[in-house]
Amino acid sequence: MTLSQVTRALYASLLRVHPPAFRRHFAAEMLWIFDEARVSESAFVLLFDVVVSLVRQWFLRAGLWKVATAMLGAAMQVAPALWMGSQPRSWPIRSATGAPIQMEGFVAITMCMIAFVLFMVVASVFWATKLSRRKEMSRCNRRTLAHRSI
Amino acid sequence: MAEDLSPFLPLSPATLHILLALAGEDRHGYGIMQEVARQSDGQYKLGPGTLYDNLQKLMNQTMVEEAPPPTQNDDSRRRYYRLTRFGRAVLTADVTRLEGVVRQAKLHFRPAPGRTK
Repeated sequence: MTLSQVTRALYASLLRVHPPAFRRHFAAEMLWIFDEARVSESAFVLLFDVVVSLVRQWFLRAGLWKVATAMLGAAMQVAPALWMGSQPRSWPIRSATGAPIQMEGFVAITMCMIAFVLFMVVASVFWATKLSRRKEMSRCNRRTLAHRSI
Repeated sequence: MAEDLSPFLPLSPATLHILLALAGEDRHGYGIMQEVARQSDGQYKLGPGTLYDNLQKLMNQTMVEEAPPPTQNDDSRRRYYRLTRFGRAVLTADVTRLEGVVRQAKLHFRPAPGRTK
């Protein structure tokens, strides 16, 4: 197997792991471009491009970033409980003298977690509003232009 | 009544180049890549990943649509794309915006009197 065949097979494999909708629509064409552009472009540049495309399609277009953010948020909520659980003493936590220990660390983690969740809620609302406005604009403009062309 | 195209502006460099490449004629993906390289004197090169990511977005926004292939199309994998009326309107609006930017830049960069040697 030559290097050229290996890079082509690798490129095709990377195309196969793109999100299904994108793959169905564009994969065959991208492979055709790879065959055409390989003459003038370095195969490694094209491979790098398809890797970037893969990451972009899964994280930005297919919304995997939302899943990752949700998991991070969940992990942040679980983290204080895990931290508490890992402490050798039982609840309520007391120092050796019997007085309750300082809870600044726990409070700070909790506050950070709340701030992060609030930020995510605001960002999601802003993003969803902007997206729906843009979609609505696109629909209205298409209708306007279609009426004009009649 | 003029449509409000502001949510779509300013266009990203990749989007602007793709729309410009399609402004003259319908092209397939590789044709768009070549035209973008030609328009920018080879300074801006689109990879297939960037191209199709943007084409997908533009098709969702109804700025670009698939066009019927010409009769002499020898490869079934080639698909042709064309600008819609809406896409042309957005491109025109962005070019007008850029003209304003260039005008301002020329005014701004005009050498001040007395400073020229």
